[in-house]
Order: sequence, then C-alpha cells, then structure tokens
Amino acid sequence: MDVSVILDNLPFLLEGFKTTLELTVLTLCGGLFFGAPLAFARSAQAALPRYFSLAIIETIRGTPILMLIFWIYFLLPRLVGVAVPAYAAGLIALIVFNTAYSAEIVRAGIQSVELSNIDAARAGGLSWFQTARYIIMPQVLSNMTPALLSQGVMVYKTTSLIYVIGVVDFFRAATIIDNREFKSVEIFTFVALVYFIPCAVISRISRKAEMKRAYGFQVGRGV
Amino acid sequence: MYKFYWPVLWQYRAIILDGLLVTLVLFFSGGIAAIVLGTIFGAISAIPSRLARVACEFYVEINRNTPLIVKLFFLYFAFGLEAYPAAIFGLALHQSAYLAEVVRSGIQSISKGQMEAGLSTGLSRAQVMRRIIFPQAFIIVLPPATTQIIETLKNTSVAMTIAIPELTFQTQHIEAYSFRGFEAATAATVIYLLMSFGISAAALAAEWKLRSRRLRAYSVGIDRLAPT
Repeated sequence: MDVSVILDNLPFLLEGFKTTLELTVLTLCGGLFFGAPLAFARSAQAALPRYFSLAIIETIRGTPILMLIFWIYFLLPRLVGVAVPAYAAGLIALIVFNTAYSAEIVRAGIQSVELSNIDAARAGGLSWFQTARYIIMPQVLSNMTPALLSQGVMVYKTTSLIYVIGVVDFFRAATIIDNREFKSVEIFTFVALVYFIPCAVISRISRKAEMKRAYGFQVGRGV
Repeated sequence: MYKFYWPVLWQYRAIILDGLLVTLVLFFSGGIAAIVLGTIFGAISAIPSRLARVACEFYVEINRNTPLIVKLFFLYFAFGLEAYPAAIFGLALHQSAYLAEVVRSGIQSISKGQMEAGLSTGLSRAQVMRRIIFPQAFIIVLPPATTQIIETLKNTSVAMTIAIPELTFQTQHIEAYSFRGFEAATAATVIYLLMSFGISAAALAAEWKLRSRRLRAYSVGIDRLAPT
C-alpha cells in the first residue's frame, strides 16, 4: 500500500469531490422541486393526471440511469441547436431520474397523514394555515425524513455514473489519476471508502429515524 | 432542425441484438448469483445469533453503500479479474446485499409463534423453516424482490464502463459509427422498458397465482374441518 499517491493528488481529488457534492445537492433539490407536483398529480382524484404521472414515474423508473444520461446528452443539443456542456446534460438526467423517486417519497409522506387530523384541527379552531403549518407539515416531514435520507445516499452513489459522459466528478478524477499512476488498489480502495463512509453513516441515521418513528406510533405518542 | 433517421436502427440491428444478448447473459448470471447470495445472507441474518447477524450486516453494509461502478472498477483494475467475471461478480455482490435485506425482513415478518408452534408439534427447526416459514415469507418477499431483479437488469448497463459490449455500450458504438446516438439510445430505452415491464407482469402473475392457490388450500382445509 502506497498512500502517497492519494496525498500527492489530493487537491485534484478534492476538486472532483466538490463537483460530486454539488451534483448531489442540486439533484436532491431538483428532484423534490419537480417531484412534489408529480406526487400531487399522482394522488389526484381525476384519472388523467393520475395515469399521466404514473406513466412518467414508471417509465423513468424502468430505464437504466446510464441510458437516461446518454439519452438526454444526445437529445439536448438537437433540441437547443447548440452544444450543451456534459455537466448540464448530466445534471438534468440526474434530476429527471431523481424526480420519479422523490415523487413516490412525497406521495407516501402526504398519504401517511390521516385526513381526520385536518377535521380535528379545524374543529379545534385552527386556521387553514395553522393546520398546514402545525399539524400537517410536521407529520409529512417526519414521515419523509428516513426515505429522503436514503434517497440522498442513493443520489450520492449514482452521481458516479456521470463518469460516462466525461464530467470530472470525484470518481472520474480518481480514474484519471489511476490512468497516470497505475496504483489501482490504493486509489480504488480510497474511492470505495469515500463513498462508503458518508453513505453508511447516513443510512444508519435514516434507520434510527425510521425506528424512532415506528416507536412513536407504537406507544401512541403521535409522530 | 435536426432530422430523425430511424432506419439506422435496422441498419445496425445485428449490433443491437448482440448487445441485447450480452445484457441477457449478464442479467441471468448476475441475477441468479444475486438471488442465491441474497437468500443465503438474508436467511443467516434472521438467525438469532449475534455473530451471524453482525457478519451479514457487515456484508450488506459494505455492498449497499458503495456505487456499483466503483465495485466493477475495483474488481477489474485493482483485483485484476477478467471483464465478464468482474461484471457478473460485481452485480451479484451489489444486488445480493439489497436482496438479503428483503429476505431478512420477509422472514422476520412471520410471527415467532409459528416457529414455536412448529417446534412443539415435533418438527425440527430446519423443517419448520422449509415447510412453514419460507412458503409464507416467499409471497411477502416477492414484490420487493421483483424491484431488485429489475434493478439488476438496469444495472447491467453499468458493465459498459469496463468495456463489455452490452446494449448500452452498443448504442455508443452506433453513435460512433453514424452519429445517430439519440435514435440508438431511444431504441435501447424501449428495449429496457419492455423487459422491466415484462418482469413486473410475470411477478404479479406469479404472486396472484400463489395467493389464490393458498386461498384454495385454506378453504379446502376449512371444509374438511367443518362438521358436515
């Protein structure tokens, strides 16, 4: 084992890592931003929005993310008529992919709140805004937290696939160094750790939150 | 304005079919290995033993919390495996971790009383597992396991990064030859979608059949019990 190869190239790796983090955060925010309306459409009464959103969600979920990345990477320049940077195409693909998964999370979060809560709050004299702010939102958020955390882990791991269209994220940065230095064992062990440690920690937090929530239900202390 | 040129797909049909074949090979070999490994690890982690649980958790955590592409590169470049073994082994490691979790929670969802009841009627622990717990857990496990099987199919595309000529790789091939990457990617996406919908439909049919068979078995049993 020769750790110096990692120490020597740390600034370059760090630069890539920043791109990875940036992609992760933007993808998560974008996914929620577009996923929330999709979730509302999915749980709508009318058949048209319901089936339309279902078709979108299922199509995205049935497509490999790599295919989605290539597809958007090829499609975008043809739609816009000018060259589109790989970073933008990759980010859009990641957001599209994450939107489908986020929509299901938001939908589950909304549906987990019992409608009788609204009636009770209204009967208790709360305004619509107060009901939403103090009764609905806290429940929706706490119900969604575990799933959102695991989704964050998944997005963080998935950003590594952006490698295929040449965006220099953390993984690509590592492979560039590997091509130059031929220290695959050291480099890919380090790469695995950089992905493993945050993911393992956040997965654990997510599971704890899930257990706490289940416990809250069990002893009837609300959520 | 860009003009779509779909006949390109017919020109390169041999390449697309070759890619599809490789994808299917990866899917079946990786998928079967993942099911076997996942069932073994899932069943072991349901055993009430601290050592077994910790060992399985270790396996599951390591494999779930690293991207598949990192595992493939590790196996291919650092570990020095050939491309195909690396891809199949990597896929199996990755997906078996998710399947192990599915199997474990399926087994644990069957009430403990059933094991105790089975043991008290004189069946051995293995017999209770084989005859009572597994058949019930199987139906519970089927839907989430199907999701993972579909994930396996989709994840075979990552094997292109270690130069395996599967379906996604071949669309790049077509792009390189004809600059018709968009048409090729669309065709490949449709193929993936058809396959994953096919798997879901098959799983739904299997689940429905299993449930109705069990229901019939129950009602026959009740008929026999009922005084006539």
